[in-house]
Amino acid sequence: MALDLNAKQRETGKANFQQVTGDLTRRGFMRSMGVGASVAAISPLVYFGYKSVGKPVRAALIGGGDEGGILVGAHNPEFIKFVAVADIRPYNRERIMKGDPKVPLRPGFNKLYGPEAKDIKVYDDYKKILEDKDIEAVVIATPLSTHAKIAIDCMRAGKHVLCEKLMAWNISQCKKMIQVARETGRILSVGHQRHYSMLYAHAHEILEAGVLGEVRHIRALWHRNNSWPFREEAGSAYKLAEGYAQPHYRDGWYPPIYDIDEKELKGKTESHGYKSVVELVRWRLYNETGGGLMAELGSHQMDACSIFLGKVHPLSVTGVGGKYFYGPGRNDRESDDSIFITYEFPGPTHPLGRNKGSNKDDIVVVTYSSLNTNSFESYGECVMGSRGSMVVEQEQSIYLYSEKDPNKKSGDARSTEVSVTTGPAGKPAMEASSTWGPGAGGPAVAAGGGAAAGGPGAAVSRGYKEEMEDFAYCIREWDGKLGYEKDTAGAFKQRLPRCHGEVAMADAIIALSANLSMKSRQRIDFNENWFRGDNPEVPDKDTKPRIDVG
Amino acid sequence: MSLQRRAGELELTRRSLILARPRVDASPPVSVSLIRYRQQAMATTWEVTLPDLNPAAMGDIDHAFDVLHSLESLMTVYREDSKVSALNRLQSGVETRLEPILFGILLQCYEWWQQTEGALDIASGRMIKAWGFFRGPPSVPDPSVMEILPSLNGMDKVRLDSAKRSFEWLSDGVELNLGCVGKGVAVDAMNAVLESERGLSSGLIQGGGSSARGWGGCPGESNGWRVSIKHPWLDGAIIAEAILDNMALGTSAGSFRHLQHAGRRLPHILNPSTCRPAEGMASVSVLAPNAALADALSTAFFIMGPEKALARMGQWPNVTALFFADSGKITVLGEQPGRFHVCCH
Repeated sequence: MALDLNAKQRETGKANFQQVTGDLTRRGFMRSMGVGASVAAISPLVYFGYKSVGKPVRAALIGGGDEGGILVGAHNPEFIKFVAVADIRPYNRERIMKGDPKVPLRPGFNKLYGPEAKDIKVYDDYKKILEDKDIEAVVIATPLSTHAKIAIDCMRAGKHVLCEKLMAWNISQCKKMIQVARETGRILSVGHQRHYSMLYAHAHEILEAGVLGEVRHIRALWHRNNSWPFREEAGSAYKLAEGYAQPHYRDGWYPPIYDIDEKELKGKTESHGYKSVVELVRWRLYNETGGGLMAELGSHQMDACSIFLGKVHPLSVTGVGGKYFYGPGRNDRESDDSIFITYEFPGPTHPLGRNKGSNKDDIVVVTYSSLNTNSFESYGECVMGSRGSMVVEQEQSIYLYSEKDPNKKSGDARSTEVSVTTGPAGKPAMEASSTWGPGAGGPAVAAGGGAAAGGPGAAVSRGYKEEMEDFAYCIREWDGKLGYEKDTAGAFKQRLPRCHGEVAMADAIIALSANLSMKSRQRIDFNENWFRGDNPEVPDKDTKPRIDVG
Repeated sequence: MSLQRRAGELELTRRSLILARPRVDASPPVSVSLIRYRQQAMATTWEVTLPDLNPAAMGDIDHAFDVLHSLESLMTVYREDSKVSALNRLQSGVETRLEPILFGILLQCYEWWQQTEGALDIASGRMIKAWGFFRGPPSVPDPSVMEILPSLNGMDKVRLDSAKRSFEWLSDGVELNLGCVGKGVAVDAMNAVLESERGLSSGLIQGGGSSARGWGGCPGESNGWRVSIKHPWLDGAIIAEAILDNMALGTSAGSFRHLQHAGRRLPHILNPSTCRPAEGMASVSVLAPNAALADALSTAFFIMGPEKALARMGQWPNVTALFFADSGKITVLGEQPGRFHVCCH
């Protein structure tokens, strides 16, 4: 994100963020920080308003692939205890237990649970979990086309559901999921983890405080470079299957087909909703099993942008995209490899904006791009206001910069850099010498501004852990009979996860409408009825899902 | 009171400097957070440091930096549109009225020129240009140029009329260069904004490491701001520490800008009486009640050396100076030599 930031400017931007959040806290504007700029942030648990649970929720993981592995790595066994796992692929069933040696974020159950990992039941079909009365909840991390079917089956079997995003393959399925959650009185939460990120909570509060002035543009992107030649892993425990197109480029969406999967599943995938082993393993690349770059990457960031703007819905979307790079013999696919989307969002004073005003010209334009052929900029969102800019990078860092005021007499590089340094007391606060050259020199005390949130040096939680903790807390507090009843003000009577069905459906609408716009080469105006769980209108009524949800 | 008795003198060889004991730190080892605000001005980095919980609004800081930039616009000789550049274009015999602030600066510099017997000379712009220390590259001037340079130096070429607040050149071809005092002047002005005008109880201001002023206390210190003075040639080593408790520090050293000539490193600080680089000193630091004086005297003392300086110290109350000679010998002069904690790390 933010192409031209050098290391020093990054430090400056981080320190500015620290300073501003500290200032806001002191003025009582901010609830996310403790007193004082450099005091560690309050815990997500307090911030998001949940408490520890007495007995951990007994849960099953459905789908032990890349994302399932991340969720297992992030979960807190004091809230959720996995007692079963189901996956069609033998490769995934092995990996979820043993972990991914190359990816520390996927440690696997054996490492996390120790000897108790033997007690986890491992199934090759989620239907076996439906029958297990001992299981209270499921965490679903399967291919997109199966989300609705599995979630609905589980809710009907009496299980609470945390389903990975995108919520479902089309909007009719989302509405069906919301309807079944109501009918069965089960909790439905969807894994847009930014709803539980303290970093995004801070970013949102900075926007609310008006520090950036008038925001007219948000630029979001997730660019990756998947154009480098594939090399087979040396010493891999798995053999590549013969007779399949193996990767030409290194590309997480085009993984190798392993012998272990091919032997067990060849000719047997149809009943699970996949035409072939290839479609099962590389489901993100096909229109009927996945949702392309918007569903996988863009939905997260449009979710972030709508959080920034106060959880509002966009007014329109126009997209351009295509499969410009990949082709036959070179990681071929149906989905686009490059997309460029433009949304109009309502600003705070727009009738559909946060403050429900009357100014129809109050528009914020949000652009989004995702590429497979360049990774110069790291992924993130840049919010551009008349008084400042805020860059959120890789869900880890926030940088804040003020705009230059031309009414002030100005030389070059006038903008004030702010930094916070921490060091032992009694150390010199500066080093005197003959005059430094431009930009040289620095404080005697070592800089230690710390991470944007979560204390110095600590990696910032992306929200997976908190999302699962709150899911467990909601389950423990949940009264199934009361279910989704609303009070007279239209608010749910019971505590629901922050990204419950209707919130998640909005993210699906925003993502899938961009796909529709690209496909039809037309601008699409959003219809508020699409966003209502109890209204049958949908943007994509002509789409035919592979799996009927009944 | 004789000067000899007033001046406490401390001499250390380079060897004993290395063996000198580190200062024993009595304060408890708590962690301290400081907020540092930086901007670029006068071709270097400026910094205002405040205790973390000082509730300074950015507006106060911005205002202090605004004052810095307006002083730079007034004093710089690197911009044609500055007031000092305009004065340098003025012919002799033409009187011009000055704004109070610039007149005050020039009058003060005139006094210092007299007090230092010409060592602190802001009317030395031609000499600085001749040696290539203006826009560079530095080089030894031709003998023909060296011959005329002494006649182009000195505040005796300037007439300042306090009644009319006017400036006049008494001789043509002379130029001002406020490089030796400008940073100190700006530090004092920023201090006036933050301490007097805006009422901030504590802070440390510095320009480029060579000019600094602290007021109030730094967290973790009983009072004042602890600063260290870099060794002029050993990277990472410091030669002394001092506490800035309503006190300013100016440092002149030959280390950052210099001229390589005939196998020697000549410092950029020129002696107006010889019109050649000052010799003998590697670094001079001065503690004084204000930063302009600290700046002016660090330059003057670098040129004069400790012996000449000792004879004149009585003119400036509350001034302490640390001389670090090319030989490594350290001399501290002044009423309170203990203000510099000479150390080896």
